[in-house]
Amino acid sequence: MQRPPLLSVAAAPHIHDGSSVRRIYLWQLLMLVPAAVGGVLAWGPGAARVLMLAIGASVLCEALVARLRGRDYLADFSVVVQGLMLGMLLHAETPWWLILIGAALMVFVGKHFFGGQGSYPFPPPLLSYAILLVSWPGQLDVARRLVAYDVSFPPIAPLTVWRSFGTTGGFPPGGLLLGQQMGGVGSSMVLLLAIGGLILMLGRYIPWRTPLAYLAGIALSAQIFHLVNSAAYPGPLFHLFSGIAVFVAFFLITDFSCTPVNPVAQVIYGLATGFLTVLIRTLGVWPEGAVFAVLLMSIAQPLIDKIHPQPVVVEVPAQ
Amino acid sequence: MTNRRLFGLPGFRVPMTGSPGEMRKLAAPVRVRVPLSLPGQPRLAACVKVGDQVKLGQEIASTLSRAALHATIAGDVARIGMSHAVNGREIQTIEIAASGVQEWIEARVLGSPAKASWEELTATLAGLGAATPWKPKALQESLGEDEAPAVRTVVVFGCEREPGLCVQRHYLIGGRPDLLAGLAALRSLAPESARVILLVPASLHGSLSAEFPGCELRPVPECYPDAHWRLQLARVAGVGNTTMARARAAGILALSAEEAALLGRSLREGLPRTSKLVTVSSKSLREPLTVETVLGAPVEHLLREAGLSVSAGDRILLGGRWQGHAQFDLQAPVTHETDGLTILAADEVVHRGEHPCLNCGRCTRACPVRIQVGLVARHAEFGLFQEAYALGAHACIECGLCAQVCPARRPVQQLVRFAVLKCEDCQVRDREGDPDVLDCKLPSDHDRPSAPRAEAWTAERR
Repeated sequence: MQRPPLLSVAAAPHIHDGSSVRRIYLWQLLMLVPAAVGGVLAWGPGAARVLMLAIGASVLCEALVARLRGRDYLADFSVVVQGLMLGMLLHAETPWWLILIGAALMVFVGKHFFGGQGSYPFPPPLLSYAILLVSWPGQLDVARRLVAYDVSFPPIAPLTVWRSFGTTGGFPPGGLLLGQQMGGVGSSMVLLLAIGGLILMLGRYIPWRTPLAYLAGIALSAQIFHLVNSAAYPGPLFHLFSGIAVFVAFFLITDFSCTPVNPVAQVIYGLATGFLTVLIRTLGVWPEGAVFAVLLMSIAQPLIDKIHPQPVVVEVPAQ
Repeated sequence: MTNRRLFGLPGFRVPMTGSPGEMRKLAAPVRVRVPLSLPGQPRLAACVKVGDQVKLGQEIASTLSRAALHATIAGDVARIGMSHAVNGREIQTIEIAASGVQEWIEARVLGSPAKASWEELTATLAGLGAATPWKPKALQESLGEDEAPAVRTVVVFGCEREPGLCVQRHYLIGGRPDLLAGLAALRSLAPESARVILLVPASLHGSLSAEFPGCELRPVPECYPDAHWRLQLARVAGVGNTTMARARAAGILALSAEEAALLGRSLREGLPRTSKLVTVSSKSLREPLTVETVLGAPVEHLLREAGLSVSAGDRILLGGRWQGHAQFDLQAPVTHETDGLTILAADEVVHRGEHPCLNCGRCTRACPVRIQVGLVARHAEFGLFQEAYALGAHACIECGLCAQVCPARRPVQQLVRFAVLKCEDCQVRDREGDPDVLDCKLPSDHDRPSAPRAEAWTAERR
């Protein structure tokens, strides 16, 4: 008698829509590439060196962790995306050892110290960048380190100019949008990042409420300050287009691990982070408030995510 | 497959399209295995012995209240014993091997069902072993007080259980005389004040509205999970979420259009129900094929008759892709609730991995009953079943959308169900006074097995 075939069994459901983690990260990578290329064109081979070193070092660190934990972490490309994001935050003249430290901090501390993908409380590239910024402020000072570059715009980061000299005159919104400002390799390519982010949003590769709420939070709070004293406080466009606000909005604040999943919570989270960004930029010590605003709000994310509708529990209908 | 609208505002929806298509009546199988269960009925007791000769339609098992199962082929009772039911649990079944002439029992035709009195109708139905809540007076008295409350609403599902099936639609269109007779019988059985509601797919609502007198027709959106039976039942009952049993406790009787139609057919022909429609779908069929077979027919028979073959690694589902039960045995029988037979080729089988949760929240936003699916699944994954239960895991209607949309391909719904089963098991054991009841977590060395460990485990078992 012929033996019956050995069938595959599992619990329902037996359907999947074909989405995958790898596709999400590959799309994010693809949408980061224009800004990265723009950065390399603007800052020259030094920028390419930073990006490649950041990605390479991050992948190596991740491979080491994967080997230690006995799992395959490289297959979904998340570390390539995060390495690229770290590189894009750093400026073109960042010393090699700082990039290596940054990559190691990002992978070991930012990511796997907390349990790896899905478990970390802060966006790893941002945490790593914040540690570098606080530890080596001189090395990451774009005004001092990028002196050798001949640029057509004021050679100081716009937020620093505003906080130190109280003026935003040299920075028309159009120029800021096209990346005419001192900053990281790719993080100030505002227009390219925004286009990439919008495509990701439409393709549902990132949540859409959080970035929009974040940008709205920045615009609203900047407008409030601007209305109070228009001479001292610049308007929403300056806040939106200077520094890393757009990069944060579309690529860092949207890191699934650190953003709420419930619609209302996402909006609250985005608005609050935007408000905090402007608050730190206006009143804090660090001109680039977005970094610390996101890190602070990330801690509150589980709490904010408690704002959700109650499950529709089973009831006995009335007689 | 999923219809994702811009920004996902209306959530995840799967269109439920289906044309009735071709319907084919299959030859009788040579062997059937009838599980002793009837939806919504207490345990059945066999009333035949091994070796007995049975005629087609002869009663083989019944409940105290005269709901019965019938021989679906004529032959000899080959075996009465435990075997695996569709959902993998053990259940008593009666196996009949065909022999001799396929001869029906004598029909008990009711003169004119439309004019029959309530007493005549219930007596006929009890004689046919139909499972209805209405019993003739004599039987009612011998049973004592019925615990179930009087029926005040009858809900008939003319929509399918899940996308890809096409069973109820056949009765709405092709088998309408049976359905009309069944609905008329329900109408005259139910109390005067009770409503009879027929839920039909929205696109058929207009053309059918004049066809069913005495019935309230309600359109059902043709997308899943909106058309999920439990959600539709809850809508009729005016609550958010309910189960068939709880609705029954509140006086709402729910049954499928097929059950209503077969009730009508039984009355018209005077013979008990033995047939069942099943939608067979497979990659090798151009479009799903709906076949009429008998209860207890083995999957193997359906496959052979539909001209399909399976090879190692394929997956056979009794039901559709969202709610179907995977079978390991080609002898698995068609039951009252089997609306579909889905064959997934080895390359269509979804492999759920052990990827950690990304916290992307798609499952949570897709959930029609608003469970924090990702959170519940992560609790269940690490053995925190009570916490998962407290988060509302028991609201799950098992529609399958969460696991459908998970980009990490985690077994999300499976984890939710696991937590609920674990907790319910604990509650039962607590009631029974089990001293180990607090130990309802997995052993402390539980961890998600890494791939090499899982391989080693499989190798060991081999």
